Amino acid sequence: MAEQNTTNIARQGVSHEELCERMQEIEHIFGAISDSADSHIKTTCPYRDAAQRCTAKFECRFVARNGPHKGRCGWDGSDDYQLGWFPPQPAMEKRI
Amino acid sequence: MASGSLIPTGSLRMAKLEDISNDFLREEVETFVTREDERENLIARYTAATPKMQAIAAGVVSARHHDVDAMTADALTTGTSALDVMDHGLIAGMALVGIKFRDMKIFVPEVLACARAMKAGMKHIEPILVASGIAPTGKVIMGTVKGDLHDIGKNLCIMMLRGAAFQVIDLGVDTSPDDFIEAVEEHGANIVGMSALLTTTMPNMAKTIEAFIDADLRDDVQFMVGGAPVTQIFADEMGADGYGDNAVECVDLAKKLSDENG
Repeated sequence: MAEQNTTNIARQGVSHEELCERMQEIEHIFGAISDSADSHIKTTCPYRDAAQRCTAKFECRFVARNGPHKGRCGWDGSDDYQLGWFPPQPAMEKRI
Repeated sequence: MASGSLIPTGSLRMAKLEDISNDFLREEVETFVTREDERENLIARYTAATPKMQAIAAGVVSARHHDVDAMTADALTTGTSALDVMDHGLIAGMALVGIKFRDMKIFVPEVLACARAMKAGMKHIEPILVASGIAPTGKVIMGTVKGDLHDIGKNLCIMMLRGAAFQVIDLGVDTSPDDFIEAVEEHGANIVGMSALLTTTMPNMAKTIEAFIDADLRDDVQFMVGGAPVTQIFADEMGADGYGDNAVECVDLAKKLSDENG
């Protein structure tokens, strides 16, 4: 099937530029979808109470806004991810 | 049908909603597209399309990937231009999906299902892209790391990467270091994308990189990582080659790494 299609298209004489335009348009549509997804996760309330009031309070997921990227969610070193990431230090093991 | 301008100016002025012959598409536009410019744009696009192309667009919007696959193959083999299939079928359908998602009429799982339908059609266009000199931008292995079953963010990245002409091998979720290694060896990819949503599974990104070092393959691949708890700092700590905060950054990063690979 693929070979047949290629033959058909070769006969149609589709230009490289025209196809590039379409690929850019697809990329643009998907880019907009990704931007929408980014926007939704910052504005959509995942938890509501019985009165439909939003009870969720996390603009930034798992990380703080006072992170290294000004105005953006980011890690400032004060969270406890290190424990999940690095093995306990010898001194800490001794204390435990 | 002649190819060329995506939205013919004449059609833009004259087309009406009632002129869309496909009932499903007409109802979708009527129900979900409220912005006047977008409504006019889509009406023009759909009315310029043959019933066959409208059916492909409707197949994308309703996420019927088997139907889109068959209809696209049929259209191309019966002489429809690849540009028409893209302009008035696949892209026209996905444009409406994007609008519905932005306006929160549908959500990520639905978008991904629609993207799968579009991909089913694009599969038949790919040989044409290659024949016209548009080579795949690069080959990327993508997977959520061992112990982690979350894949929506990864799937968004994959959708974006495929949209940017990357060839993507999706290993799914709970991917062990050995699975990543096998995939790289099998497909000859030199970019590996790893995702994790949990802080508890993030260490498995580093373990995967270590496994590549142990297998003497680290120099053959570049790693990009992402996921909600992952940051640039962690990416640097684990020795990844890049970090992406979202799907757009993932594509930018993949392009950068691909360029570096030459």
